[in-house]
Amino acid sequence: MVTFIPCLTAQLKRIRNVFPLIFCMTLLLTAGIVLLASAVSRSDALSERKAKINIGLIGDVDRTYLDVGFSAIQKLDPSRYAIHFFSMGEAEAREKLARGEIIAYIAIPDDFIHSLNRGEDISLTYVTGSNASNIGTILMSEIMDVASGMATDSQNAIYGTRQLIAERDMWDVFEEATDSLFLHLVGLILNRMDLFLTECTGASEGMPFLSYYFVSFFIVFLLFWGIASSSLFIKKGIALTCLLKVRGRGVASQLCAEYAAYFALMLINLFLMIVPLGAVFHSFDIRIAEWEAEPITELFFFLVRLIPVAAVIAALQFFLYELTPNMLSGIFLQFLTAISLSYLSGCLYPIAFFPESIQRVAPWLPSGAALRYAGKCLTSSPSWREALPLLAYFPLFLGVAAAIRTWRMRR
Amino acid sequence: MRRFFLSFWLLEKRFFKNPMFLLLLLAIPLLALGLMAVSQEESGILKIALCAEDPGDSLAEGFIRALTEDDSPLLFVVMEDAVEARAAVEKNQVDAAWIFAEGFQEKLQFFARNGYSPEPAVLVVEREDTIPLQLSKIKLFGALYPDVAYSAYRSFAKEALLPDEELSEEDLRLAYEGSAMNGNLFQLDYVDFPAKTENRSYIMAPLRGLLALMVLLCGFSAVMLFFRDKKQGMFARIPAMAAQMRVYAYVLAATGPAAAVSLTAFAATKNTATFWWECLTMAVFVLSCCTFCALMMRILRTANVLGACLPFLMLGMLVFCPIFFSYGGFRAIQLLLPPYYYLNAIHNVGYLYAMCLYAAITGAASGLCAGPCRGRCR
Repeated sequence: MVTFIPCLTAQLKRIRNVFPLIFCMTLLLTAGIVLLASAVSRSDALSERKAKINIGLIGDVDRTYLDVGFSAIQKLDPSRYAIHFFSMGEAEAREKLARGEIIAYIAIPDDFIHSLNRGEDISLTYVTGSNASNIGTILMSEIMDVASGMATDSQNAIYGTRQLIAERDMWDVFEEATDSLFLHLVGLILNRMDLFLTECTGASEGMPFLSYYFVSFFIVFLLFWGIASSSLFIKKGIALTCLLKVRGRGVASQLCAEYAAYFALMLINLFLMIVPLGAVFHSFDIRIAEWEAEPITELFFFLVRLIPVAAVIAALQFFLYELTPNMLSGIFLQFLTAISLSYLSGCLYPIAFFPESIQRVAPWLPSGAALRYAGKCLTSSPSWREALPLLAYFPLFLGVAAAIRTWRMRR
Repeated sequence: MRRFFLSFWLLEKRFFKNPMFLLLLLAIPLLALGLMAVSQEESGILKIALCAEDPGDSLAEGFIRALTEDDSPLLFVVMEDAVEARAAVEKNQVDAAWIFAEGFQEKLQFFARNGYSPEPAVLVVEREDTIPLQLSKIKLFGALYPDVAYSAYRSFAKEALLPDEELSEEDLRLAYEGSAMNGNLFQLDYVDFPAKTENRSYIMAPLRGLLALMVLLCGFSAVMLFFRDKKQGMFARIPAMAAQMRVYAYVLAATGPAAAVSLTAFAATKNTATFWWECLTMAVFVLSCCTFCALMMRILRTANVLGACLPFLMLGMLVFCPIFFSYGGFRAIQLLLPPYYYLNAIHNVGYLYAMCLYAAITGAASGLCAGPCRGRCR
């Protein structure tokens, strides 16, 4: 302790120099993310779960049966709550697709209806953007397959009927029968929800989507925050450390002091975020389902419970910087670790999107354990099951960091 | 120019002498391959439990088998009974449960004949009725529709068209299948897509964006190294103009190897367009990274400020560039970020020209911000 206090004082002085800058960036980062979240939630486009999927239609839709078809989908089909079609020109469609205002457009050939009537094999072109990372795009591609299959089955039913008519020379009922069956099939498609009864249980053990991403935001934020401290940790050499050792400040004292100062910096930044975050929650009326009191109060208590998570992530970052004191490799490693851990533990895509093997491993990763613990902090109280991996990681990271430093000094 | 390349070469040697840098570079293709292995496992953007209330219902069993064998972004798991399926939804183990009701076959045939169903044939249990879950019901109906369409055709033929004739199942099937169409109503295309990438799994989709960010981050790290070298007086004897230009050598020396391993990772994971197109877009991206990093160096001035800004910049790019999510708005911000051009340029040639223009503009802006350079660098 005698050697720890002077080391800590020295480290706190170092941190005092960079604090205003790092804090400004933290504020900027928070403001940016909050601005994005509020703009996205206001435009009702949050995470593609509440948003309608917009699709452009190009080609001569007016004056054809297609107009009737698309109007029917817009007005009668159950998908009208999820998909919206807009008629537009090709240039406009391309521009809107580039801007992300529509996720795809359907190009209808000029003689589409006539070709269908002649029984020719003709296709609509479903043109999408380049990026398949969007859930809406992936689902729409799947739905296009389904729609295509439904159209083929309907055609088969109609052409089968025509075949029966042709075999019996019943040409007088040809048109009427075709129309009648076609309308019946359209009715079946529009009435399809009759087949299903949807029962919503409400979120019970799982978190609602907004809460999940709220927790993920903090984990991603903490993981990336390590890069901001690169100027603190990137060292020119081991000389100063060796000198301090000679003067009686052992590796443990040095390391604990550096870690404590870094952790303090992280906590100060984290807690100072409460005010702007709380204000934004209040003014934009963003509601986290699990919160009952005022957002600022709830946020404060949530962050208090999040301290063990911050401690482990700070230890992880500390260990990584100890591993690579070089500037280029240090930042590279921080980023690689932050992005890989965020991705694999379900902070960027929900963990349910991943295969079983990743879902099994994720809770044992430092970020996965942190996410699980933080999730419990929001929904109820974390038990030892959630705390145990964090408790194991904390001494592990600091211990390995100490071992690396000792090895480097001896070398 | 010769000196520029000489310093580039010396920097490259300096970077490659660091074993950790080499290890990290090697880690990129390995990570990409790991991700590819993961993407080949069973996964889905929605996980749906399937079960039949009546285990002896062969039609329901057939649908369950067809859905589980289908290659779809929805992942289906079979559950023993409705209680287990409902519990899985409540425990957040699955997103929804599709429970095929008792008398499923009769209900489906009634619906096909009459156009309505007094009782539901499938019970859908969800926690919240989100848009993806609403759309997934189209998939469910799509699976049922071949039987619905055939039943509708059969009842129409037997009851409305030929009520007086004894139509055998064989005759009906023959007419139905004899005129069967196999074409696809929708043809998938990509806007201005010069070359299609092979691997379009959603798990692999963010790989390109993440590696692009990594290339750019290497550029930023190189700028921080430049700041440190400058502080240590490494450029004290070099004309100021040459020292200002030296930053490009730093960024190029760092981003070059990162770009090369990124290309290797794309090739290893078959996540590539044509070879030359990949190389061209990556080369222009590296160029735009150089000018962007140089501009940020002029604006942010010190290693501490740049270091503090890095998470803000990286997270900003993660959110605004189409890596995980594609947002319609914020175009003005997106246009400021080099990965936005790169990620779009792979599929849209217009963005390649835009990226060249962007590199020219940021290069000019960086030159303007540097101001007049006279004398020695301090």
